[in-house]
Amino acid sequence: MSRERTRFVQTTVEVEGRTETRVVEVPAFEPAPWTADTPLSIVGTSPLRVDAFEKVTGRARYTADIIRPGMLHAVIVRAPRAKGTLAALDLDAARAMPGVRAVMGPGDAPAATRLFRREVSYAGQPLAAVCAETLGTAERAARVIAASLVIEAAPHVVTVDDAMAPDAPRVRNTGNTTEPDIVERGDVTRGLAEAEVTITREYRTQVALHSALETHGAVCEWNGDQLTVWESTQGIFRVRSDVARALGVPQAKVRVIKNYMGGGFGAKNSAGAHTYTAALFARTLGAPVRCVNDRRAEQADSGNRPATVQQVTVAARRDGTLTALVLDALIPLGISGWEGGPAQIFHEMYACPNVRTTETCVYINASGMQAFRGPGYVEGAFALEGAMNALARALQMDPVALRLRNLATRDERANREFSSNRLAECYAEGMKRFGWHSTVHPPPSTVSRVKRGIGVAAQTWPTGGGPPSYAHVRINSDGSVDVLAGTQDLGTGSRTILAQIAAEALGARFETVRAVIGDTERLPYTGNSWGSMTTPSVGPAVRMAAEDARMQLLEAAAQLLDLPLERLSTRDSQVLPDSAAPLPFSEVCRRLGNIQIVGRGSRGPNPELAVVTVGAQFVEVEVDAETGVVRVLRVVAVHDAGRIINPALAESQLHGGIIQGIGYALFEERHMDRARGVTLNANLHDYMVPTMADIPAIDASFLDGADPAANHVGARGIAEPPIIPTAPAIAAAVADALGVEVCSLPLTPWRVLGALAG
Amino acid sequence: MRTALSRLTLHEPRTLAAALKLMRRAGPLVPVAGCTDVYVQLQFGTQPALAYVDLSRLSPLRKIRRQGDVLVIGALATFTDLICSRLVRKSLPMLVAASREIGGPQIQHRGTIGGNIANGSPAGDSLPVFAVAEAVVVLANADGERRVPFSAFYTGYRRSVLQSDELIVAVEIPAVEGAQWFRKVGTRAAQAISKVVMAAVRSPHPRIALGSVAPTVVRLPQTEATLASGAGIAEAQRVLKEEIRPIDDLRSTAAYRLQVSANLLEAFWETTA
Ligand SMILES: Cc1cc2nc3c(=O)[nH]c(=O)nc-3n(C[C@H](O)[C@H](O)[C@H](O)COP(=O)(O)OP(=O)(O)OC[C@H]3O[C@@H](n4cnc5c(N)ncnc54)[C@H](O)[C@@H]3O)c2cc1C
Repeated sequence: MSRERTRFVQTTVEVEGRTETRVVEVPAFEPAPWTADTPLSIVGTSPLRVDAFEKVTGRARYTADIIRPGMLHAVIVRAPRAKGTLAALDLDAARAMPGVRAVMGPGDAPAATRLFRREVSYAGQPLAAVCAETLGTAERAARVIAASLVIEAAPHVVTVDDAMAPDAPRVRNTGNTTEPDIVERGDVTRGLAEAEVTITREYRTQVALHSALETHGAVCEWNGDQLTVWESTQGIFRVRSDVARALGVPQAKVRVIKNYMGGGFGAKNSAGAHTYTAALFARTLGAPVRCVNDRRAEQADSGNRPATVQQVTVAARRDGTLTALVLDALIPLGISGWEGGPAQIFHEMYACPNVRTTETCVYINASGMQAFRGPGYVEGAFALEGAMNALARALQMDPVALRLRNLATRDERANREFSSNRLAECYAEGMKRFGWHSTVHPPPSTVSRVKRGIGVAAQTWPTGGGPPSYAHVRINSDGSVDVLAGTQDLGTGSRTILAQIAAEALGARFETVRAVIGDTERLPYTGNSWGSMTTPSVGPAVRMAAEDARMQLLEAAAQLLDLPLERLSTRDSQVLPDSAAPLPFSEVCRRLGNIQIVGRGSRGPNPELAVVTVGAQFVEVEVDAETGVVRVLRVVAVHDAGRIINPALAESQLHGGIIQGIGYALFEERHMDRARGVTLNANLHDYMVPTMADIPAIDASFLDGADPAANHVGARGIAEPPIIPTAPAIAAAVADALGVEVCSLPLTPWRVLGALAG
Repeated sequence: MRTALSRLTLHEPRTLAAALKLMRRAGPLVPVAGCTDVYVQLQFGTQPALAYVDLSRLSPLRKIRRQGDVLVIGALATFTDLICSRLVRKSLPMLVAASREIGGPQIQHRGTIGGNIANGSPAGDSLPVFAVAEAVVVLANADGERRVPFSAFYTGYRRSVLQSDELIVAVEIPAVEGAQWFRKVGTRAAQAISKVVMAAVRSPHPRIALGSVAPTVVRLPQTEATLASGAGIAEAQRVLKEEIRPIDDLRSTAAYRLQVSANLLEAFWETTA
């Protein structure tokens, strides 16, 4: 492997469904891809996750557990109403309270933090903050400030219908809606004319809250002009650049650390009000400051999956061939957000020649949206897959057969081939595991109050990952190995996976390899853990670094043994000459003395291919026709994510996604008071996530194989895809049980009963 | 409120007499049994009291016994105690059914019937059972005991005849004739607040009680009379829909509660026929 000078090229990377073109470095060398046939002994197995004991014994220190000497506590005071102007507030009374160390209000934070503005545009917006010696004192002082707020109220809107009304109050100066974003391929008018069957429906999806068990939070500490931030985040480097920019300090003076995380699901991609509040107080007071959302703040103002109203038309010939797909969607984002809407899956899921989507974002006086596991695709799939199931019923066609007839064979949206797309095999495997054909369900009976139904839905999701991502692999003098990568573990098991990849590539024993992540000061850059990209982005960089370290070790061993390089290989932390006795890594390193072997790796450019993770889910439900209560009895999920690095960890991603999908389908919904514009269920008591008792038998599996065309590790992402088909599959099963469709989420008892009553 | 706990005073009497004396002399004090409601109130900032009295050491109040025909359940009996009690399983199976549906195992281990009754939530799951069982609530203060029929215990939304110096010490349940029936309707399979909860007894004079459809748990005398008169179930459902006036809230709609109450009535009538 000769080393050439680094060159830079353009590549495209898809993040959460958005395509970006980036200039990236071409690595000095790229290892040959691990194909489906490459014999691997550590990758593809399920060693115990490396932090399992820390987590179950409570020794793992999450951000909220960080306690620093002399640490103070900050609490944010939030707007009690949805719109108006802050006319007055009294910070002095709070400042005078014993134990209170500082307060901040309008004008006290740098503009770039966007903190403590006088214009109130949603309930929950930060207006002031207080810092005290104990959390209790800070909370009491925050209540004193809250009681002093005088807000000159202005009319607000918190529903899409209110925002769209002709005389609606303005949410933003530019108006309440964005320009419709229309994307069309083919000729939809002709497609509709050619159709023999047309299904038209309105689907509505609700606002869902991430509800991560660990809330957003930060602990900040200044040492001279250097700032350390412990943050619960999906992107340590992003938090670093956010904080540096907002506070006007060089990135080099800011260190961000994240060791363990209790969930992010897309809501923890940047620094937030809590970070800036803690950093600012810590700077003024010269003491460490902790600012962690309580559950109410978390549920009221830390991001959400926005609601949608989707008008859908699917048109087909009698044999099921799609002739047109049309979507007209309204997406109330809240006060801010990005257009990761439901349209994209309409362009990617099926081989339909004529597709038109129109997305209009609507601003309302509510906390802004954030990416939430499979953003846009989850909402879009409920409508698209719902309409496909309705079409199957209208055609009296098996819903799987209908899907197979319209299988996408290439990425029509971006006009690219797939690196691999084995959705047809996912259907086949899922049908077998579920017993799709053998399941006989009698027609709805009027006698038995409990009805059963089955349903199916599928998913696609861009998961190729991409550059930039860097990693170092160090072989220590005893032969043990450090993997250094500035990524972070959201709870998915990144530490374990990266150690597996490095051990495999090095020929080292897994137990001797430790992955160090989560620290901007000591580790090379990698991007945010979003878009299910960590494994396909960081994995190849780690493999390359390990291959580089292995080459160096072998070159050194060749010198020591006086053998040509080609006669050496590695396994089980040993150098294996083809003729002589094996030499442990530790022995090679001992003989090398204080030489440290450092391998360097980076993620190379993406191929000109669409890289997607696909899958199908089959669901059986029971519906109580007397009460409308839906119980999910079982879920069979088969997904294809290329090479599975660690089957146990990957399977638990499927479980998590499906469970979250069940919550989205049946229980979860943010309720807002229309009159006051506040969140009514900003707690986990009335915002209901599934309990253990609601979780059915889940049969989660993957297709065997690898995707060497996607990257040289052959792995794609898996974290987001499994939530996408769950809700439409459940809705299809409910429709199968009852003979009527419920087109609004969640499928609450009253909606189901209402649908039954007609 | 979490960290405000340190500002709270907690008395820990070892006997009922000592507890009642404290309630009289050191009051007002908020009694704490399993603390499953009180803790939530503290978290939500809806419990302003600063002084509490812990009842959990008063183990005699946890007893479940028979006195002639009457089942006497101590106020500190937990839902798990009820589920495990052979006496309760035999004579009041609908209370076992209700106990199994409360919260989840953790809540069943800690939550007490005294707490469920005193808390007085319209969604309290044991309350319809006591209503149809025509239970008597035994209250005590430093001067002695008094007995209040369950039907006279509540005076309004979360209001009752319980005085500030009184504790609930037991519930007395006379023998219940006829088939018992209980059903809770919630969204989730566990930790669900009832949307509608019904307890009923099938006898020549049927008894029906509903929770979550009014400010307090309610008996349905007119519906009961209609069923007793031999009128059909459809007629009884019509009467029921006149008799209750549920409301819309976060958890459900009035129309849903009305319809489901009527559906449950039919289910009760069919399964106990
Ligand atoms: C997660 C969760 C789930 C729940 N699910 C359910 C459910 O499904 N169904 C349901 O009905 N409830 C439910 N609850 C509410 C609660 O568990 C019950 O009301 C329980 O019976 C309360 O009993 P406790 O002993 O914990 O009461 P505590 O919290 O100790 O007290 C509750 C109230 O009663 C008063 N009190 C207690 N004992 C006495 C006494 N002996 N004399 C006078 N006053 C007294 C207290 O002062 C307080 O006002 C749930 C609670 C939680 C936290």
